[in-house]
Amino acid sequence: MNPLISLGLVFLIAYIASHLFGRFIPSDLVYVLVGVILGFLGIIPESMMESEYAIALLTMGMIAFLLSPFLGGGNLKDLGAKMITISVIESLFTFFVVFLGFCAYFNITGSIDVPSALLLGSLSSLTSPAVALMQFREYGTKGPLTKYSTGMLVFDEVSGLIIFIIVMSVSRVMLGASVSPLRNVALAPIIEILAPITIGTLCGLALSWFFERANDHNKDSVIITTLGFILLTAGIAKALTISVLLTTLIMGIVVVNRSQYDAAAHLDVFMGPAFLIFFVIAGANLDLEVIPEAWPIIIIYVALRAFGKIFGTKAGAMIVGAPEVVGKLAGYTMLAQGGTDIGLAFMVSVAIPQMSSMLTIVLGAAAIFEIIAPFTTRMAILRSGEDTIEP
Amino acid sequence: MDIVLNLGILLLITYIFAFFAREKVPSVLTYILIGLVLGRSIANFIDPTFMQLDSLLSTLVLAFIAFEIGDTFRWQNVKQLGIKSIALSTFEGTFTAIIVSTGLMALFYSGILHVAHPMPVALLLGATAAATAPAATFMVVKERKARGIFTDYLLMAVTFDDAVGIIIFDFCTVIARALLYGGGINMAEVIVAPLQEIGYSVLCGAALGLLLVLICRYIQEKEGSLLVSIAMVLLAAGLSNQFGFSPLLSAMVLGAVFANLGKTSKRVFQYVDEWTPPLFLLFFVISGANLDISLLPQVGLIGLAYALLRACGKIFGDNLGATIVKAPPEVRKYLGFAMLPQAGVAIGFAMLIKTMFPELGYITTIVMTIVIIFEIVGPIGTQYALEKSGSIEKAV
Repeated sequence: MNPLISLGLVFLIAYIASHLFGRFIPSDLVYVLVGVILGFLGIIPESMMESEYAIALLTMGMIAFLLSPFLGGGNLKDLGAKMITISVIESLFTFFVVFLGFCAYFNITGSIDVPSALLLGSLSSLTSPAVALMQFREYGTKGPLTKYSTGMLVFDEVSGLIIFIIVMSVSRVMLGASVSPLRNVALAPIIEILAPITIGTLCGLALSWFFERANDHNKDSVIITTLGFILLTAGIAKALTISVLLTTLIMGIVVVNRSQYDAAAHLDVFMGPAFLIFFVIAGANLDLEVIPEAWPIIIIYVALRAFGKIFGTKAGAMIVGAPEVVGKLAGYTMLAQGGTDIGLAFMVSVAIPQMSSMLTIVLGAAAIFEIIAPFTTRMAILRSGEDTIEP
Repeated sequence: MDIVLNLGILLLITYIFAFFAREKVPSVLTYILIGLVLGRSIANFIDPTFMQLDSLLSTLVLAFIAFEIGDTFRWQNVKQLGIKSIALSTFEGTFTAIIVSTGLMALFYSGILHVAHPMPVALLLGATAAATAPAATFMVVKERKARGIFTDYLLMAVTFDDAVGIIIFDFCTVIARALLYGGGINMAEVIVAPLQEIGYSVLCGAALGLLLVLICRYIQEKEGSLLVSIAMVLLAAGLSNQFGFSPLLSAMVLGAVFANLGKTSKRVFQYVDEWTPPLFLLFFVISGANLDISLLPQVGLIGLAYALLRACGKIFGDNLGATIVKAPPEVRKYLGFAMLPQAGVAIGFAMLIKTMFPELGYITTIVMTIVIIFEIVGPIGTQYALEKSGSIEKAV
């Protein structure tokens, strides 16, 4: 079929489905399910499936950029340290819960496999922000839960990545790989944070300079330059293998703080189509066949991770003294998985042949979380009463 | 280089140049020239993935542009100008084709130029000469915020041109085939085939338009109506591509039906308008990138004669046509200059010629080369005409 027809059908079917069922099921989940069905029917063009990476990158970049107003000015100073602390505590807690849980499980089943447990633990601390961020937008939420979750979701990627990098080096050593891990272990976290800040700041300064120059604020100019900078920043981050999300977020924060101009408002028009495509393709790429093979491990992973996220957040919020609603509900917005973690699992299974089952497990878990997370997030939003729009 | 990074750099470079040049030249021209420099002819910077997207992207962009042009076809506009502009574009299209064909034939038979098959070559070149470029024209109109009766005439004429072009082209290819390969001319085929193509395009657009009107009755919010409109434009473009209809006509009818019957259409057109600029930029950069300037030296005298005759045909054809339909004087004086751009449609015709008449392959080269010239001269002509006709409001 002509790819334009397929694309048209994807838009039409996905939107109508979300319009019809949006009252009962969150619309990102509708998109994912439509993706599963359309992918199964072979309606989604091959070329689109292959461009998943580019679409994911662009969508991530836009999300992070649109988030920046939440973190503009005072918000960042007031909440930044707290968010980072909760996110670090919660990531580490999840890591240890999953790691120790699997150590116990492997002990019982008699196959002591510390590296696998370590890697599963590190992968579990990662979170996919798209689901929660889209729902915040959909419900027009405002309040402490939204602010905290948004910040945490973004920092989570960084803390998760750092944990992963350390664990990866350690388990390589344990498996006898001949890499000198010390340098990586020491330097990686610093680079993971410093590089995004530097590049994000530079790009942010450049974009705000653009806004000042183009002082007529022609709509087309704003849209094109903003999109151009998002792509540029995301592309550079990707090329340097640093966090795309953090880099674009920092760019956005710099722009929000330096120029009075609300570029995010114009970009809003692109979010609908980008989200739709992103989730439909994610659904189409979910390989449901892998689940039966590894289901015991998957189920344990899902349960441990959910426990770790929910109670880790609770503990973190208590320690830093965040508003009560954050401790009670933020964990439920952080359950989604299925972005960086899949990429990393893929990397692990390629780099360490003994770990080839890692991808299967993470894919299966991502599929389950992708289905659970929209519901738990919605529950958290409605309970917190921060929603302002009836979608 | 990473494809996302490549795209980001491409957007920014193009934008920066267009920004600094925009007082003097239309941005479309900057986009095309940047594409030319960064494209395969010179720097070869653009990621090959984008270059391959060319045909899909051009169908899609043409469809979006035609959809937005459909907005000018609101009933009160059409009532005033519809018949006149249809008559005008039919006349000038035919006139250009005749001028180019007869001019070339005169040159061939008087012995100034020599070609193997004078009649068919003259006919086919005449047929491609009629085609114009709604996309480039529309972009200039939009960028300069042109408004008024001249603009209405111009937009309707460039869009109808597509229909006229198809008829003339089909007609000429049938005759050329009879001349080259013998066999009679089947009049039914000459008349029915293009009418069928046009009829199906209109039907397809109208059906999708009604569907859009219907769906938009239930959807009021911004995101939903935007998503559904995008879906409909994609479907119009895709169906046309699949079944050989004209994407321009079907998307235009889609837009026109929606503009007239959709209650929320004014707002929806605005949303679509916000959505398209990056898409258009990319499209023009890529079409520039795909221009092969190594062809330029090969044009020869035939190419030059063809270019000059086409310009004359458009300018005088519009002049005469406007007089006949009693259009306002500014239309008569300047419309021809505004209709010089040529692009995708002509290239499409050229490719068809290559497939249908392999021995006349050099015609394709000529047309493609001359398209480079008209892509560059055309937008300037359009801007000149818009300024002279007083369609551009003075800067506030």
